[in-house]
Amino acid sequence: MAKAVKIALAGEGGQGVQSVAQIIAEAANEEGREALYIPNFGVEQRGGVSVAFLQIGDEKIGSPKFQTADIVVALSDRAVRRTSQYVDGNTTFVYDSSIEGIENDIPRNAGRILAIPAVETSRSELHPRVFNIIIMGAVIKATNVVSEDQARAAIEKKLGYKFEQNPKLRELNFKAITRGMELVEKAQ
Amino acid sequence: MNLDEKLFLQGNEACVRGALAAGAAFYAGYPISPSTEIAELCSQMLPEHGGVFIQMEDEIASIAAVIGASLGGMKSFTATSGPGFSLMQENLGMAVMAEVPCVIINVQRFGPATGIATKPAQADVMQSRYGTHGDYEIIVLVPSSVQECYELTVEAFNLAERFRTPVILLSDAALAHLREQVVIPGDLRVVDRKKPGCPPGEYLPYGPGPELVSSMAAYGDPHIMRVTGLVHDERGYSTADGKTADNLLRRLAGKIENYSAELPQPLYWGDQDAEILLVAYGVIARAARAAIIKAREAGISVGLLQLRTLWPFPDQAVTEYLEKVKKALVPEMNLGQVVREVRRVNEGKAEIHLLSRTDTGIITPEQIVQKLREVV
Repeated sequence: MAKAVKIALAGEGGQGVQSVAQIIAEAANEEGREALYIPNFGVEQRGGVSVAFLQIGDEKIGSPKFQTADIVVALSDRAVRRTSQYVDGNTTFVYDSSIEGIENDIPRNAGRILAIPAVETSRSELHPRVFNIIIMGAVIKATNVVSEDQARAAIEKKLGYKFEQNPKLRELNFKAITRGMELVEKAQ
Repeated sequence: MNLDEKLFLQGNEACVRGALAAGAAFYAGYPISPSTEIAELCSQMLPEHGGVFIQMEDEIASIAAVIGASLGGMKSFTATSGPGFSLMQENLGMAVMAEVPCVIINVQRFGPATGIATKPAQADVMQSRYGTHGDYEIIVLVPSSVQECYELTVEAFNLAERFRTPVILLSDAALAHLREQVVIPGDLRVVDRKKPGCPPGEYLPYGPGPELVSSMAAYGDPHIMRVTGLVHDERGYSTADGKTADNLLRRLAGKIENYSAELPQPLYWGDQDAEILLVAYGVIARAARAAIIKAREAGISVGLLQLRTLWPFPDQAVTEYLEKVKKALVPEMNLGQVVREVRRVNEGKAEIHLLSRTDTGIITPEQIVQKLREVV
């Protein structure tokens, strides 16, 4: 059986990386796969670097943390610097193309480096609120850990009560997944 | 028969669900990272299940309220972390002395003092054993997965009721926030405290009873339950008599010590005729299990003894496994606490090594394998 896919998502506290990791983990669990998610954050409510460690596979997952990831997604300058330690030659390193001042910090040893305009897309096409859902789409496209349908179902489960009040939100979130997937496809 | 249910939960959530399944009806606490989700979820779920949630002014009051509720007949518990656990030590002794069943979940974080609120450690091993003053025995359980957070919380309540004693569940900041699948068993063994069956006039709340534990009346019952932290006789009247003090102390210790076979026993993983034994507990037992496989690939044959009860320390089981090996390694996230116990029971037979990590990171399988290579 294939080894578990190891994912590290990092951003500023409040960017929503922990929610994304949790939704993907729940979606994978719903699909009958083994999933483990553990957050890592400081004492700040907002503004600290927040890292989510996620593993999805077909066998029971042991150690919650790992040394190198199959995919690292970094969403701020500090997150880029913080997560380069999880990168090796097999890692896909994804970062947002709007992050400034990181030219010398991008881990060039990564197997693949993808810059995606997630912040820009959320602002100009969708809504800043669904920025993290775009990231979720990017992660599932880059890893195939869950299907798009299952990702939608997991979001529905999590936010269904909000969608009831405002069906437009559902459309916005689902669009965000699709756009996230497209951004990775284009960057590859 | 009820069907099993599969849920995707966080360690802290699993503790709350375990408590409810075991019949917990009262929670008093003061929120503190990384245990806060336990209080938060209790505030939602306990009232829904006909129970009571109170946020108290501090941890001293919290455990006092827990003791009070238990004396009123409710299964009660609290959750906290290092700083709060330190504040609870005085009343924890009260619960030991007055034989009040209750559960204290200590979600360990990096210390001493306020330390680091969001980072894990395994440094309260000795505090959970010796934190309150005086001589006593106490039961401390330690989960290594979200599944065990659920199961051992249920077990903690069962043992508290069975032994009429406080039981501590030692979780940690990593396990608290780790999410994975949990199978909630449809049928669960739940233990309730024994109520007095004799006429009220003959009731001895601190008599030797069967297995050194007396039945327990609740406040308001016709059977009078006198409660004191002072040395007391079998009726609950305080006394300074030396013989009574001696009997009481020995019964309180003996009721746990003599029946420790009833506590969750260690689990053994890996090669039966391993050359090196790992002794691990809590979240590190996971890394140890992964290390067995990696070590085998490196040509080292390793076995793992996973401790589920830390106190009373499972002397017999650990000795038995130590006798089979020449070397043992204890990985823990402290400066070396359980390793002292392993050395004590070992009596110089095997060579005991410590892998200590105190930089707030979790010990990884790779670190264990690296240390195994050095030791071999």
